[in-house]
Amino acid sequence: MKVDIVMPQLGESVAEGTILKWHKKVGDPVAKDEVIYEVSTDKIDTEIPAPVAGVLSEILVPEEKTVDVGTVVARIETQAQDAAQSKTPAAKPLAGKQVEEVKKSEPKPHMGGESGKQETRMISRSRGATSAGSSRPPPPITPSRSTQPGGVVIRREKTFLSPVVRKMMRLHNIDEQELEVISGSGAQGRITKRDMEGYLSGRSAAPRRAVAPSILFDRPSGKALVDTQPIAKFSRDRVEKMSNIRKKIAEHMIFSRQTSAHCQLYHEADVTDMMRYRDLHEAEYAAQGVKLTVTPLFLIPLMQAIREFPVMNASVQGDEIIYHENINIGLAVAMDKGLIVPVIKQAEALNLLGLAKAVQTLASRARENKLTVDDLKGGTFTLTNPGMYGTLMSAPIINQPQVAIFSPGAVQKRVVVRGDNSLAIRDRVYLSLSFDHRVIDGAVAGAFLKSLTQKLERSFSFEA
Amino acid sequence: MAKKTAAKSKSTAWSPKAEYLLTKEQAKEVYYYMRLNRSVEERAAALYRQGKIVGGCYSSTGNEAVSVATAYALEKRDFFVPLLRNFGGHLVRGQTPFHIFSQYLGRTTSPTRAKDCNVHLGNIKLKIPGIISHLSAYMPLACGIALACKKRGLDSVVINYIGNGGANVGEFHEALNLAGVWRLPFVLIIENNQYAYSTPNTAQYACQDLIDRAPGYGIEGAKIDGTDAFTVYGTTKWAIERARAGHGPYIIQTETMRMRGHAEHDGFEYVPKSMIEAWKKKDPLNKMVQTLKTEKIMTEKEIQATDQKIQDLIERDVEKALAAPLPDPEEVTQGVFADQTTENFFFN
Amino acid sequence: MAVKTYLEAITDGLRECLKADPDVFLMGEDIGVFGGAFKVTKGLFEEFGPERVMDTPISEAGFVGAGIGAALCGLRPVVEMQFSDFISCCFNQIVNVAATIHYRWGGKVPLTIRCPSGGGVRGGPFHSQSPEGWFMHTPGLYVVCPATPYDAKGLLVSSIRNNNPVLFFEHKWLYRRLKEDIPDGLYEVPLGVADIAREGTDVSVIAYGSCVAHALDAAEGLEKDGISIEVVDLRTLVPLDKEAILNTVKKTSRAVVAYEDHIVAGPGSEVCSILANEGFEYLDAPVERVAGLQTPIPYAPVLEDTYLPSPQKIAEAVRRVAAF
Repeated sequence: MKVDIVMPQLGESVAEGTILKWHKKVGDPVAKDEVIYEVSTDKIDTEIPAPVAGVLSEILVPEEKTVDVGTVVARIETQAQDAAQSKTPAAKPLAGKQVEEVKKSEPKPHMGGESGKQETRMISRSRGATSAGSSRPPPPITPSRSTQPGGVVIRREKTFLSPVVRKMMRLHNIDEQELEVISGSGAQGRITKRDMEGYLSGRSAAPRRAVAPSILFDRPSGKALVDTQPIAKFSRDRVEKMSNIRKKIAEHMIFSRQTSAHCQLYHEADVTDMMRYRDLHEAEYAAQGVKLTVTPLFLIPLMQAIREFPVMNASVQGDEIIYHENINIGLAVAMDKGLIVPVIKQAEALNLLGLAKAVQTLASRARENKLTVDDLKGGTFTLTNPGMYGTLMSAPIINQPQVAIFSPGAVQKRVVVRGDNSLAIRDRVYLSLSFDHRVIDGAVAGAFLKSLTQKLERSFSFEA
Repeated sequence: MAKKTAAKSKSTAWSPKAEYLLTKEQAKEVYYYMRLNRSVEERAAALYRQGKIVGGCYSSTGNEAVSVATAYALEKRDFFVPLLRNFGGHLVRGQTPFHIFSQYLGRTTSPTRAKDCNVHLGNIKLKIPGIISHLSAYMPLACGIALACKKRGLDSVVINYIGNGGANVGEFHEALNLAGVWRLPFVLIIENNQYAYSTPNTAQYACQDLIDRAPGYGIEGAKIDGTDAFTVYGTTKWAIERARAGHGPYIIQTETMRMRGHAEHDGFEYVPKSMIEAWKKKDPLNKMVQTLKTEKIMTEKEIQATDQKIQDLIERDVEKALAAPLPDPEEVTQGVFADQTTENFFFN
Repeated sequence: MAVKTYLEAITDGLRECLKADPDVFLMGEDIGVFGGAFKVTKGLFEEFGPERVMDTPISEAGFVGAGIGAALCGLRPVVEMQFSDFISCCFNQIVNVAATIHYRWGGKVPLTIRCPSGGGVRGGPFHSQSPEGWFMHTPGLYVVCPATPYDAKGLLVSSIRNNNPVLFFEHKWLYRRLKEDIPDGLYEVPLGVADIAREGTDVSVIAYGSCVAHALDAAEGLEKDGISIEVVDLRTLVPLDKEAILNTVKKTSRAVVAYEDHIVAGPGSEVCSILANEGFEYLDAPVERVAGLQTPIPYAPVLEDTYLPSPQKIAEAVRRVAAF
C-alpha cells in the first residue's frame, strides 16, 4: 500500500514549504518516524519524520522546490510484513483518507491546517472564474432601459407590487392583467394589501373576471413609454396622469412599432354593389334585430382573401411563422377611455347574418363595459374602420402578435372613368393595408389587396 | 530552599507543620509524569510534522518540573487553572494521553468534543477550566473560583499559572488586586521561561523580576529554580497549604527556559545559541534522572522500564485517538447555550 | 402587590432572589453601603451583609471574571456595571470567556451582568450608551432588555435563575419614569417571549427598552390620524422571539423597528433581516429603522435629543410606512 507524504502546515498562516534536502533516495528503506526530508518555511526549518515504515517509492518534489501545504511530496510503499501496519490498522486508512480529502476538497477549504493556503487559492480561483466569465453569457441587459437607434431612451416601467400583494395574487390566482382593475390607494397609485383585500371581498361575490386594460391587446409584452425631455409647461397647461388603459395603449403601440416592419399599400375598390346590397337588405336584417353596417360586408370578402393568402393570418414567434387555422377578426372599437379590440372568434364559420350579429354584440358590449377577457383574446387579423369619420386612407399600427391590419376608408361617391371611357358615379373606397414586411413582401401584400378588391367588387353583384 | 522576597503581608506569619519533601515513591511518580509529559509532546510534534495534527502544536520542554510538580502538590479538591505549557499538570490531574491526542486530532473523544483546539483542555470533573488563548483572561476567573470556595466554606485552593508575557496584560493586575483585597486561597505560578514568543523579558517589563510586583498587591511571593522538581514541589505545597489554612494568596516565580519555539512552526532563531546551550545543562528531566540515580531512588533499568511503559501507553493512545470518530458537522451548532439542569458545575 | 418604579422593581427582584437562594450574591462598584450609583441596591447591604452584597475595586475585568469563576462553581453572581458604558472594560471576559465556555468544554456560567444603559439623562458619551448590540452579536450570551417595571423584575428573576451568562440592560431613563403594580415575591417572565404592548392593525412597531415607551407615546397621536400601531416589546434580544416578529408583520404587513443602540448593525438590523428573509411575503411596505444615530452620544440636550429615538421620530417613520 502506498502512503502519501504531504507537505505539512508548520504554523497557522504558513501556506507553502520548500524541500531543503532529501535524506532518503527512491528505493531506500524508511523506518517509522525516521527523518526523510528537511523542509524550510517562512517560519521554521525542520526535519520531517516518516509517518509509516516502508520503502520510499516516489519522490515527487525535488530539493529546492517550493510547494503548497498539503501537496504530496513523496510516497512510501509499506511492506506487508511491516509490523507497524498490522498493529495500527486505523492509522493507515486515515492517513490515506486525509490526503484524499485534501485532494478532493480543493475548492473547499479543508478544516484546520490546510485552510490558510486553500482559502487563498479558492479566492483567486473564484475571482478567475468571474473574470473568465467570457465563456458564460454576459449578464442580460436589463430590459428596463434600451436605446433606440434614434437615441431615444425607452423606459419600461413596471408598477411596483409589494411582496404581500404578489403573494395574494398567487394565492387568489390574480394575474397582473386582472390587477389593472384594482385601483391603488398607496403612494403613486400603488396597490396595497388593503386594496387587495377590498377587491377580493368583492371578487368572491362576482367571480367573473372583469376586463383589465392590459388585456386589451394580446401581447403586451413590456410596457414602453417614451421618455421625453422635460416639456416646458405654461401656466394654464393641465397635467394629468395617464389612465391605465391609456398607458397600455401607448405601450402596446410603441411595442408594435418596435416589433414589426410596418409597410403600407393602398388600393381603391368599387363597392357600389356592396352598398346597394346593404340598402336592399337592411330592413330584412333590422327585422331580426340586427343593424347591417358596412363592417360585416367588408368581412366576407376579406376572409375569402385571407384564405387565399394564409400568411395574412399569421403570427411571428422568434424565427417561426405561425399560420393560424381559424380567422379571428379583431375589430378596433373607439371608446371614450380609449381603443379596444374585441375579437370575433372563428369568423370564417359565420355567414353575413352571424357576422353582423357578432359585430353588433361586441360593439354594444364594449360600449357597456361588459367585454370579458375572452372577448379580447386570440385575434389573428384586425380590421379597423376609420371610414365612419370620413377618413380616406390610414396607416394603422399592427395589433401584435398579428402581421397585418386592414383599414377601409370612407365610402364616397366618386366620378370614375370606365373602360369604355364613359363617366360614372360609383361608390368607391380606399383600402389601406399595414403589413409586417418581416414575413409579408410587398408583392404578396399587393396580390392580397388586389384579390380583396376583386372580391369586394364581385361578391355582392349576384345579389342585386 | 526557596529564596523569598521581602513582601508585605496582611496575614500573620505562617509556619508549616512539616517540610514538604517528596517521598521516594512520590519522586518516582513525579518522574513518570515528567517523562510522560515530554514523550506525549514529542509524539504530538511528530504527528504535527506528518500533517496529522492541524493548527498549532505546543511544547513545554524545559518546563516539565514546574508543570508536574506544582500540580502534584494539589489535592483532588483543589482547582487547576493552567497555561498552554501545562500538559504535565493535566496528566497529573488525570487527563490521559488519549485525551490530549484526541484534542489535538480534533476527535469527539477530546474533553472539548473537538470544539476547542490543542492545549485548551477543560475538564469539569478534574476541576480544570478549559483555558482560552488570552492567557491572563483566566486569572480573574481563577480568583472567582477561589472566592466561591471561600463563600461555600470549602478548603479548596486554586492554583493558577501565568507566563512572563501574560503577566503584562491588564487582567493580571486586576486579578492579583482582587486576590490581595479578598485574601483568596489562590496560588499563582509565574512561569518565567525567558521569552514571550520571540520577545525577551527586557522588552516585556522593566522591573527586575515579576515577583517584585507582589508587594504592590499585598501578596507574598518567592522566586525559585523551575528546573528542579523537588524545589518546585516543596515551595508550591507550602504555598498551597498556607492558602488552605486561610493565610491568603501567594505568588511563586519559577525560572525555566522554553527549549523550543513558541509553537512547532517557530524555529526560535532569535534565542542566542549560548543561552540554549547553558539551559540544556539544566534540563529538568535529566536533572530528575540524575537525582533519582544518585539518591538511589530508581536504577537505570527501572528508569528504562518506566520509559518503555510510557512509550507503549502513548502509542496505544495515539492509535486509539486516530481511530476515534471525527465530529459530525451538525454538532457545530450544538452546545452554544447551557441547559437548566444542575449538572456540570464544579461544586457538584 | 404594590406600585413600584422600574428601578424599585429591579431592587425587589434582587431582594427576592437573595432571600430565596443562598448562592445568589451581588458584586459591583459602590453597591454596598452606598446602595449603587442609581440606588438599585439600596438597603440590600443592610439586609444581607457584605458577603452577599460585595463592593469591588474599580476593576470590571476583575470582578466580571471572578463572577464567571464563581458561576462555574454553581454560585449565581449578579454583577453590576455602574454604567453599561464601562462594559467595554470587561469585553474580553464576557465575549471570549463567559460566552464560549459551555460550547468549548461544557461548563455553565449562571452569571447576570446588570447594565444601567441608555441616554436621555444628559450623561454624555460615556454615561449614555446602549451597547446591547455587541452582545447580541456574540454567540453564547443572553441579552435581556426590559421595558416595564413588571418585566424588569420578572425578567431579572429568570436571568438570575438561568444557567447562561445574561446581560441585563436596565434603561436608566425608565428607572423612575415608569410605575406599575408589582406582585410581591418571586415570579418569572420567560426569556425569549416577546410581549404585545399594544394591539393595532396598520403598522407594527417592533421595539425594546426605552423605545417601547416611545412607541406607546406615539400611538395616541397616530390613532387620531387613523393609523393604528401594534407595539411589540421584544423583551429579550437573545433569545429573539422570531415568531412574534413574523406574526405581527403577518398581520399588519408594515413595520418600523425602533431601538436606541446605534443604527448600523444594531439589534433592529437583525429584526429587519428576519423580515427580509422569512417575512418577505408579508411585507407591503419598506421596513424603517428608528435608532440611535451613528455617532458617539453627544452631551448637549439639543444634540442628544437629535441623536436619540423619540415618539416623534417613531411617529414620522410610521406615517411614512403607512403612506407607502
